[in-house]
Amino acid sequence: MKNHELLDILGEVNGDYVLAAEDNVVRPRFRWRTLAACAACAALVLGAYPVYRAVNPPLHSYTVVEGGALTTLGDEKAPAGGGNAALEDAVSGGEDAGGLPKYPEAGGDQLGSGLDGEFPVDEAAANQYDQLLRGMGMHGEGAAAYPDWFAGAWIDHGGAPGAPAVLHVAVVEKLRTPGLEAEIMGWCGDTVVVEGAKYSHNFLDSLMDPVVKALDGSGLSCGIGVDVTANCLGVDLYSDGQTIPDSILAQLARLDPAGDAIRVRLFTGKLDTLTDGAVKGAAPADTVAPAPVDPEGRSTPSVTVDGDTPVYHGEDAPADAVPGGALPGGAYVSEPPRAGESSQPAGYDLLDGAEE
Amino acid sequence: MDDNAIIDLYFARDQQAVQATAQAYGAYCASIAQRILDDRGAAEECVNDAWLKCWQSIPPQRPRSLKSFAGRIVRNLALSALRADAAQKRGGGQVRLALEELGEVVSGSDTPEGALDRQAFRAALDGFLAGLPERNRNLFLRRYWYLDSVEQLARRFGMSRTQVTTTLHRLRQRLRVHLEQEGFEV
Repeated sequence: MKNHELLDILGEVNGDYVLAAEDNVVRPRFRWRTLAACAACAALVLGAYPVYRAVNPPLHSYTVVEGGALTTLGDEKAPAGGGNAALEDAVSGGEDAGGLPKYPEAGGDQLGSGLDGEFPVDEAAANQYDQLLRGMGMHGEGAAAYPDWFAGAWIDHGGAPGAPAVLHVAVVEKLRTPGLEAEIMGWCGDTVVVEGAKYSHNFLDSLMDPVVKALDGSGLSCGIGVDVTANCLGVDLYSDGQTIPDSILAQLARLDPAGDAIRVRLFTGKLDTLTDGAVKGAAPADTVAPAPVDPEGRSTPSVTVDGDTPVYHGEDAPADAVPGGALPGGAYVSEPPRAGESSQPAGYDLLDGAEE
Repeated sequence: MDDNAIIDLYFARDQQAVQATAQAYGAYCASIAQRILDDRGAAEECVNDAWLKCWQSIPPQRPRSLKSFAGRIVRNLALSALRADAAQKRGGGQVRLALEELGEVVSGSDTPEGALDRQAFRAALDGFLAGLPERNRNLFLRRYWYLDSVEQLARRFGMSRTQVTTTLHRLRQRLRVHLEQEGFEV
């Protein structure tokens, strides 16, 4: 048979096949194996990471501090140790180490401890703070919430004995404008120092409840409060030999994805509950952690035991304690850090997780 | 106008039938002729001859598909024209290549007159095509019926040239085996 004969007869094959070939559109062969490989890759990319993250959620970093026992008085609790506390090591990246409170190098008297005498609260600075509150419309009972730009305020004694106290006002950086600064200075005077901060006081306040909920039932004693000088929510945990469960660190990481809104410190000390309502002796001077005052008591009020008389903070403060003790409003009085100790959050909520 | 209406015009001997056919399938037939002859003028001439052939064939024939019928006529006329000397000079490259490829299937020896039962042979070819996957059947027909080039096939089927060549080679081998199994000494 000749090839042209075959070609001719091929021209007579079933017309349906011929027309089907004419109508045939380009359809690249469907490759199941390719599809399966692509699907597997996509699943790996899209699914594996979330699954991995679900199994191994990111954990919030924290700092381990040696010592730092907690003494409580009845329902009121205060940090009473940590004098020899040393920043031991920073865990999980240690970014908290950099987030420790920026207490100024103030010297001289300390407010609140009562151990070395009353820290003199500068009346002028206290008045500046009062003016700030009035300017923000926060003065008096039932005051409105802080404005969104407000990140906190504190009085800095400057580090030298007898140095004039300066009111610092932290303003959320994104909302900071020359007009706002001028307005603050109009309220408080030109000596006020306006600083930038990342988080508003309201935001940090709003983190408190979820953090408390996260710690609920953990068995850890803790102190929680907004640290305006560090612009974060300070969470101090008293481990008494325990470690922080990963589940709690994971919840904190969810609340603080950036890792700088919540500062977690784990004190290895032990909670000492004073159940008889009396202070059981004076804590050594060098074992009292600094307890900046929240004069307005916006955070849960706390009390620092100084061995003789408790120094009240917040709304428990007697009216005559201002100045010279607690201040009204959301300001905090900074005090100098001692050698070998770390700073505490400015405002404290002292909770005992074990009791809940 | 659908096929039945056009065919009715042929049966009525209405010359509108040729115009209607050209309007419906002119481009299709021209593409077949062009692929075989590779010459625009010769292809047009071939297509015009095909309309005349249709006029002569219908009636008595009543094709089930006018498109297939006309296309087959054009293909046969184009191949006949290609065999003529004048047509050879025009080119016909794809036909020559297709013939070379089909040479793998057949022996090339002369078939004694009347020795080949064309109808049975055509049925065997249909059986071969029916047994192919649709994609391979289309590829085979695009190459040996429409005489598409390998490049055109590669584009049309989304394959590489090597894939097209390899697939066609396997199909020819399969055709040879099939014809032998059907009892044809090709």
